[in-house]
Amino acid sequence: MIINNILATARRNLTMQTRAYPVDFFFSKLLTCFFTILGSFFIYNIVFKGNVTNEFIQYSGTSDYMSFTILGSFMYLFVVGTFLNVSRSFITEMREGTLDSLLISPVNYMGYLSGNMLEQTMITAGELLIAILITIPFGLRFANINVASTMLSIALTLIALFGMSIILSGIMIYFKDTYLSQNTVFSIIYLTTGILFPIQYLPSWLQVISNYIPVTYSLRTLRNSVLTGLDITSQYNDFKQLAVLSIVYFTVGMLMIRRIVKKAPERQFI
Amino acid sequence: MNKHMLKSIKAEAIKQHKSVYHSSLMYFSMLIWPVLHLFSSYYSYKPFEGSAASELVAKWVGEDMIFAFILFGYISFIFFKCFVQSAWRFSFERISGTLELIYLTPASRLGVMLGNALASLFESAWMFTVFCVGAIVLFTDLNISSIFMPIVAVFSLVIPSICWGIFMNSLFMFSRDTGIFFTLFQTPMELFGGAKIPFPAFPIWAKLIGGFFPLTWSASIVRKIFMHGAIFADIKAELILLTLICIGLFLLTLLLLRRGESYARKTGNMALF
Amino acid sequence: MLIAKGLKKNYISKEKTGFLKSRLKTVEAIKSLDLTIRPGKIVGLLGLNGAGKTTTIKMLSTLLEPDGGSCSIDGLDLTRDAFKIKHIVNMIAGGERMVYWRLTARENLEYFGKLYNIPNNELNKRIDNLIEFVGLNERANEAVEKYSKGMKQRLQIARGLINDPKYLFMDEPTLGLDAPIARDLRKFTKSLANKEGKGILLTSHYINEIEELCDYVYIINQGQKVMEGSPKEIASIVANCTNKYHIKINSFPDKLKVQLETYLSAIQSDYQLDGADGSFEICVSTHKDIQSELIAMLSQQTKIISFAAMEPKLEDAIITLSEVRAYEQAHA
Ligand SMILES: Nc1ncnc2c1ncn2[C@@H]1O[C@H](COP(=O)(O)OP(=O)(O)OP(=O)(O)O)[C@@H](O)[C@H]1O
Ligand SMILES: [Mg+2]
Repeated sequence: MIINNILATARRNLTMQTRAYPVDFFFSKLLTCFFTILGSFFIYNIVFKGNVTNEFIQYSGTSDYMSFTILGSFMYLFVVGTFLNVSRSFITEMREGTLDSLLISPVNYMGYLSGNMLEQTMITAGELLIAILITIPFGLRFANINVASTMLSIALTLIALFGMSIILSGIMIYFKDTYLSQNTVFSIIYLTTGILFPIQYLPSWLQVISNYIPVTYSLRTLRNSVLTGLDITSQYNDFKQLAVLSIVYFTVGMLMIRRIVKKAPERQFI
Repeated sequence: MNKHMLKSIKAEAIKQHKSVYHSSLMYFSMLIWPVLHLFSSYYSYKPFEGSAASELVAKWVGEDMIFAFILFGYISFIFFKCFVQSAWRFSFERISGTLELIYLTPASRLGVMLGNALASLFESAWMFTVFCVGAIVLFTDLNISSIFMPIVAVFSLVIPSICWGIFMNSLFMFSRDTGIFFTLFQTPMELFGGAKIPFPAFPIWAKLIGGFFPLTWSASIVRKIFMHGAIFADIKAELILLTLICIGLFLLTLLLLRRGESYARKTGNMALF
Repeated sequence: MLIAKGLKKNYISKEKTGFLKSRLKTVEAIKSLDLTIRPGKIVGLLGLNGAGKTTTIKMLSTLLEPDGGSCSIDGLDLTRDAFKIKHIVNMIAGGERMVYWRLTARENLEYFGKLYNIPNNELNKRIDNLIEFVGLNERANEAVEKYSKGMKQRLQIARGLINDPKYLFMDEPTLGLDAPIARDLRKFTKSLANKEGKGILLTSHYINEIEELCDYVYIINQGQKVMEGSPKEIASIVANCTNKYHIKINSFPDKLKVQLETYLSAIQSDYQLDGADGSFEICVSTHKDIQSELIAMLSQQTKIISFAAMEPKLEDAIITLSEVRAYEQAHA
């Protein structure tokens, strides 16, 4: 049952997206990612002629600035993709008037959302493959990669993002808004989780916020695993934090969404 | 420009404003996102500040002026971004079926586009004021030659950004696949337009791309006026370029609007989404 | 007067045949349509789903450009004078999306009124009247998102009248309206035509509406006119080819069944059986008048409780036409 829900939802989404937004669908996020990386490349190579400060090396554990920001951009690509797709799924159905047809069927929320997540992950994974090819000339290096800890980092990140996007989905339905909530969340993540610079540069009160957003740990473990090649045990604390946050976000999300969606038909929607 | 067109502009501006600023949270978020992004840009310079190359940068940015450089680049960028946002919102009228109803009326199409852009002028003006007050409080050493020059700066932001906005608007009228225009125009504009990275530092090919974006010249004018005490003669070249770009954009818009509507009338794609 | 001659519309759309591959596909939505709407008259446009009604209305209201044929509205040419025509026509479509949900009813009407360049005090007066007419007085200053489906539809109707059009095209205007409002709308539509001399084109899937309102009806199928005339004329043409009988009998022996089936299949017809609590109801539709034969055959073997020959209705006309179409397609 739940597997069917997942697959049906994933397939429906893919069909709808490829049919209605073919050009946008394939290039938009990829180009954004490319331009972000190109921007970092300009600053690093053209403006500052390849010089970083010792402080940066100390904070990030690497002197490879380009790989550092490329991984950050990839993560951001993933975050944006997941939130745009999974978080908006319910409210989009409400707006298009299909939620009622969905709710009268015995659909399983978990299955429905996982279907969205699955479709989203497949697409972004495809985009990432292309992105990796494009960014190799910019200096992405895998020489030190520790495969096991990289895999673990990605797996935990997926759970965390899933949980976060379910919560965001609930917020969107509650406030009947996608525009404000999604952009606020994007802006906060972009600033506080260390996408383009180590969070140690931020004022300490902002770093407190960073510590409660799983993306911060995702980025740290991903960079340590791919760039420095640290194994799982030496990143034990970061992984533990990431796992705990993932579970918390996920549980809160599932509890919340059930209530909010059930109440939804009583409320008027735009 | 006749009376009917003025009326369309006004009606559209009021409608757009009422449908978008329906919630007071909107005003809050209008400020909070730009501030967050501004700081993101600022911190992304941190890994380099104080490195061996810092002196190199001073010649483009000015001694110890990185934050001011980013701030004024960002203020300029916001102007353009607001208009593109409003164009993007307009593209949703296709989904809600109201675009078809607008085309049903004899209102001037250009008037509707302009009205739509004007609604977001309010948005950008409000942010501009807040950011400028912030800048004046933050930097006691702003170097402005005369009270007349900031007015020039405002005009060299408002007019080009409106032209840019209605141009994007007319592009969006053409296709439902509007996201791609966003990516093709908006993101490169931020990068090549020198909002964050000093334009003179670019390699020649990047300069060629950037030169076509009105933002490049608007940002340059704003920085010269607020940071370097430019007088009118210092920004003449930029003003001329900007004027040419605006005229070009305007003509292109007229063409696109005409072609867009007749295309829609042929294929019936106005109702599709 | 609106006179359309040989109107034609093809939709050309891209059909995906695979990733990044596509080919052009042409749908002949309207093949060749002649149509006349006189001021003060209500003209009905009937047809099954996909017949081309909406396409016709969109062409007449200048939203779509015809691919062929000509149309003049009060002497203005549909293609050349599109902008002048926009002032004197308007369209009302069913469906609740086509207004701004975040604006109030009044704000919506003000907006569209201004796009039509209606002078302000005139516009205010008109808005008051329209809001009154569609019965939204109490909710006029509330955001549309809080309205019910029918209330949105009523606003849609008010919008369609905002420029006081000489010709009004209504595409299923009563979709989703409650009975009293639908009745009011019918009454109002009638008075728009009779008292104010507007020419009205109406499509609807409610046959009663068409029969009650229209002075003249066009039936189209697959982009072509198959029949035109007053509702009565059409019904009587159809009467000659459609006969419908409802018969109640108190038993239905197998022998009769076989006999009836052989008889009906000989004239390419069929019957339906509804039986409840010991009675049998037979419903027969045919292209022939077989009343006396039927009675003779049935009364030999069973007792006829009741026998009713149904009045032919427009609805039957359309259904018959579609059956004929299906039959022709199958044998083409
Ligand atoms: N934008 C479009 N692109 C391609 N084909 C279209 C388009 N709009 C309509 N069609 C096709 O044109 C034909 C006529 O459609 P139209 O909407 O006019 O039918 P209709 O009579 O209004 O039907 P209904 O009773 O369902 O409203 C249909 O075959 C339809 O599939
Ligand atoms: Mg239709």
